[in-house]
Amino acid sequence: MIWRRFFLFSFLSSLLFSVMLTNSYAASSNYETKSDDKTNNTYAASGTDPIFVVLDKEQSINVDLFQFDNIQQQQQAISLAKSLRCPQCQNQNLIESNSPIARDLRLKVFQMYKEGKSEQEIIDYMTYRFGDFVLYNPKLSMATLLLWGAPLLLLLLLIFYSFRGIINQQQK
Amino acid sequence: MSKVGRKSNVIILLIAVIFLSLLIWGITAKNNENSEVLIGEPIPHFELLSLYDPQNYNPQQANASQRYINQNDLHQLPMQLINVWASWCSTCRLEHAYLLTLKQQGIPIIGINYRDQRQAAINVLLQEGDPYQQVIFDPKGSLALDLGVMGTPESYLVNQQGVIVQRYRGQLSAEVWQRYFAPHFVSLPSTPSLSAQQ
Repeated sequence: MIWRRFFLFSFLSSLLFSVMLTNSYAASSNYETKSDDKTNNTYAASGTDPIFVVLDKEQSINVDLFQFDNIQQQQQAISLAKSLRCPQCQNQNLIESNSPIARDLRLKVFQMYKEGKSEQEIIDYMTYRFGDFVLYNPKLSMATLLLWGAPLLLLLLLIFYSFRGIINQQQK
Repeated sequence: MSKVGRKSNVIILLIAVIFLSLLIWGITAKNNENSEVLIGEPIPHFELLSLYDPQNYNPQQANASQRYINQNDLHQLPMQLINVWASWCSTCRLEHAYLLTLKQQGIPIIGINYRDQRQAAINVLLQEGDPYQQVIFDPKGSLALDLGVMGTPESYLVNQQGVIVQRYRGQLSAEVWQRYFAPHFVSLPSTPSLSAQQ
């Protein structure tokens, strides 16, 4: 009896887990993102076009050699950028990903931090444009109530049923 | 087996059914394409060059000589379609044929050329036809960043007040148009009927 319940609960938890996974990102193959190997294409074959685009180089100097005021500011900005998901990646944060959009957003986070914007202002800037998708810690709202509450609910149910099972067995 | 045990089995079964239906709903609802983000918000302010720089390319269009474009140019008409594209994006080129159909139906389209090279973009328009009234050249992706563009193609519908009323990530097709965009044109008196031609 206990074992059957145990299996049922593990089945339910794995179900819940897959719901979370599919909700967090259902990958769409219908749009494309720019990666570095796409800089050249068939239409850019004319002799006047530069093969390496200077803009990306500028961007990478801006991001990689960004000057913070002090080490504390740098650490805080990086930890904030780590809590934000790159909008076009499956599961990489703004520090891990080197896609052009992640680099731009990373630079934006650093700049806003240096300007003295609060973490909430930076998070608002990101969610205004890209939605809650960019947050690794989703807000607690009606839509995410199940996401936050279900694990706790499952745990409580498991404890309740386990205790009841033990008490029932002892009574026998 | 006691009555209580049977009752709890029913409860467990009920929970399993609820989670299963949630799982199926989670898989089938592809709500990341028809994004609600930025709908109801005004278009961001910007000042960017036109791709139709007279020195490079003159497509014989009304505002081809215009060099700089800003947010006010995006809401001159009752409904304006804005399409983000790039020459390196093969899905955009598949979408191109449908955009040309939309143009024939009288839908005004302004393009945003995203992280691209000018000549490459112009080559696409020369070889495959040009569905746009105007193309904003955005090589650094600055306007695209403010519009929350994740990838190309991406399309926005803007009303005359400059407010985004619809947004779609991915390739536009007749089906997508009917579902998400055509309803916004129904209430407009002066636009040609789009639904009749599908």
